[in-house]
Amino acid sequence: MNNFFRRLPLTTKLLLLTLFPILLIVYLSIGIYHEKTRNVQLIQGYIERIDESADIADLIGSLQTERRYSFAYALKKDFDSRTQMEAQRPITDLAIRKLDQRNDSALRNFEDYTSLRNISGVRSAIDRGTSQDVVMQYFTTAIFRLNTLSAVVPVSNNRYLKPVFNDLVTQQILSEMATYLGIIRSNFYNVLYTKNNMVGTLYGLSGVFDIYKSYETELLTKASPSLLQEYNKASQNTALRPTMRYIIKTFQKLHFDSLYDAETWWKISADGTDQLKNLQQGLLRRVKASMNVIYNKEVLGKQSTLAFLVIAVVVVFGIMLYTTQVITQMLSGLNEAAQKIARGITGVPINNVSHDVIGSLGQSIAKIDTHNKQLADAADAIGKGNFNVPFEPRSEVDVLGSAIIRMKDNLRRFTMEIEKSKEQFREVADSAPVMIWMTDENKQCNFVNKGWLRFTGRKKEEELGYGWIEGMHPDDYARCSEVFEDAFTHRREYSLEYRFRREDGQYRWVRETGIPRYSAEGTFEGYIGSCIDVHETKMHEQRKDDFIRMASHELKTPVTSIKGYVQLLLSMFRDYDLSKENISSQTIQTSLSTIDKQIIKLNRLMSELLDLSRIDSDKLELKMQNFDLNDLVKETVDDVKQTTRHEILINNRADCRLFGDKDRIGQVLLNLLTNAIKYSPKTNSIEVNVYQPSPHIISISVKDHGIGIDKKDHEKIFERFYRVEGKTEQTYPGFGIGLFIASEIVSRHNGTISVESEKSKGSTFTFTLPVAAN
Amino acid sequence: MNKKEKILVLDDDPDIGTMIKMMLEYKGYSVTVSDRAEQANEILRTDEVDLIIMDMLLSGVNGTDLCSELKKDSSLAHTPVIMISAHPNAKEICLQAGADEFISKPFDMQDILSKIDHLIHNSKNNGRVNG
Repeated sequence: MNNFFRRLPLTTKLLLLTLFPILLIVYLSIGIYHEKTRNVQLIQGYIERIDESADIADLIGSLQTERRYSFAYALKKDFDSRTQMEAQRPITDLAIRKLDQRNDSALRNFEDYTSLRNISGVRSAIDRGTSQDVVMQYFTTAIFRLNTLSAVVPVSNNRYLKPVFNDLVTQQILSEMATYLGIIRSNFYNVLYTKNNMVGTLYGLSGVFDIYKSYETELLTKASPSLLQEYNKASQNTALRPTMRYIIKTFQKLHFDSLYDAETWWKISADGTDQLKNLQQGLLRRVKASMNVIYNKEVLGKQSTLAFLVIAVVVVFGIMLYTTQVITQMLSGLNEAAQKIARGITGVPINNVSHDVIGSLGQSIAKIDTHNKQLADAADAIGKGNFNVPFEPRSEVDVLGSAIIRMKDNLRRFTMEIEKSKEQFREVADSAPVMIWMTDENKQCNFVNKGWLRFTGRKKEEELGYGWIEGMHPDDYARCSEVFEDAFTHRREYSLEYRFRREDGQYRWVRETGIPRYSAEGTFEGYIGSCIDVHETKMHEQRKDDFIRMASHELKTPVTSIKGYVQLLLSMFRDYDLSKENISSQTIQTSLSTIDKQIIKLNRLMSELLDLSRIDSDKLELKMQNFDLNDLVKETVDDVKQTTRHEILINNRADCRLFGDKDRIGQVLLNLLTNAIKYSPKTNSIEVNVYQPSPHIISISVKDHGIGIDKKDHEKIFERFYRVEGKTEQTYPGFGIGLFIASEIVSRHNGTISVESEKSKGSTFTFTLPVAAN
Repeated sequence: MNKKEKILVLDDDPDIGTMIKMMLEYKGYSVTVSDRAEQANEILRTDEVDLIIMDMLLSGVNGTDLCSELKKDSSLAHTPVIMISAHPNAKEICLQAGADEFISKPFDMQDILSKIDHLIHNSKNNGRVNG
């Protein structure tokens, strides 16, 4: 039952709640309504009875009048009485019919009871001349009987009849008085008219008069003051007064005096009796009026009750509906808010002012909302890295709040760890001896390390985005862009080389390697890569390529010469055999001496190549021995002198012996001399100086007055494959490795080699060697 | 062969220039040798030359530059040019510069002679037809 009631919808519950009072109100109201209705019916019944009494009174009045005229006619048999009597008869009949038509059980067969059924027989008897006594007898009996039928039985404690109770009683008394007065005056009239039996009649009537007087006494006791006043007035001022005075005087004297003759009495006493009738009819009218007032009041009361019932039901029902609606509205408002909160919305407005359980529910929901907002704000702040956001759990049992606190602490720790690892990465990246960069997924640079910035000498902000491209050599841009775009589109690794501007403005070859990078979830995030300065390697390779190209050219030149001369000689000898023509001895000699010269040149080139190969594989062996430097210088210069027009002067200011590889040192000197000759085509003098700048060192220098060497090339000329660039110099044949081999030989003897020179002003090459210990 | 055909040889290596000169003179050509491009221009303006043999690398103006210059000059454009070089991959550069033939060093005597003969013959025939 309890569960059943709980499961009912709220509206039904509230309806049930109000159903009982409504039913009670309806029940009670219906009871009251019934009561009122009954009262109204009761009053209606009374009014009907009073109406009926009025009708009976009317009939009694009519019968009294008819009795008066019929009595007069029976006594006098005169025309006037007969006319009056016949005129009255239809009126009486009408009154009988009227009463007859009242379909009241109390009046059933009243015509039999009152003998009115044979009134027509009596009338016929009267018409035929029956005695006045019969008339009096018949009509008086009928009137008595009718009086007993009077429907209203006054009961003093009937609250509806109480206001009219006195008047009802009084009118009945008046009716009785009129009846008895009628009997008395009719008999007086009879006596006065017949002058017979005066005393006998008076005795006979004294009982009637006593009854009359007793009614009068009752009247004076029970009548209302207003009626008493009317009655007294009628007793003093109307025909009632002479009538009563005459009757009283007659009964006192027991004698009819001659004050009135019969007709005068008939007339006066009729007036007197009519006064009583008038009073009675007036009272009856008043009673009816009062009853109507009461009736209307009761009807109004009944209608009011009905109206009250309807209004009460409507009001209660209305209040109930309103209450239901208000409660439902409040609850559905809260429900809506709760659903919003359930969907995760915060800042839900909750308007609730009631101070009851619903209001309290609203406040609780509002509190949940506020807390949700606080939680969301806190989580937001934490998400943005603000770990100092003020946030406390609401209570010890706040699961969510505690979870947020734990989340905050863990995030703070993770963030610190990530920061630390980032810092480590940055340190590694910055201290790495390479340039490291990263791009985002839109090819824009978003990181460069310190190594990069050290290289370019620019600020980080200048390099990010596409800024770094400014540093790339314009000639390399198109090629690199193509490779990068292609790799980026296919997310492939790539490697390329380009020239990149260093802080000093020099374009350096760098090798860039890039690989796509992905997040832990596998999302493409851009590229990461490095750039290494490969300028030296690149230059070296280029020089090596140049060397190979140049070497093949240099080697082919003497071979071309030798091959050409040999083929010419062969051709000449062939022709000689065939045509016996003379062969020019000049031609043969030139050919053979050139072949010889070219073979020497070829041999020197091959020696240089072999030396280079030995140096590369670290197999340049020195045959150490003691020897005289001066002898070596002289021998070498003498050899050179045979092949050149240049004058070579020896300035020997030292005299010492050296411990070393004599041939190799001779090779060094020879190389310097050959260069001096080669690079001074327009001058002739070359000086060789041998001197000791300190006791343990000996210097040998070769000075020419030739084309000289630019200062920037002074160090490089001793490097492998280095040749002074330029169109004019290109025509000086040779590998350009002579100085490199010379410097290698000198350094293996723990010596040094250097040059002093200026462009167009000749060069001085100097190499030093340690003096032998002994 | 009433009149000797004139050949100009340009090579920065005097040994090779001499060698070619001796070779061609032995075969009856009249030969002038020079190692400088400027000189070559002078010779070409004064003497009538039937064929030019030049090394790709010359002192002064580069051989290829000189060749393209000659081929642009209407009075010299018809003179056949044989370019020689010891450099690998030089053939393309030389032919692009307008050379009629390219011979790589070291060359074969028979080869260079037949090419010279062929070019001079062609040039003369063309000249006759045109003249």
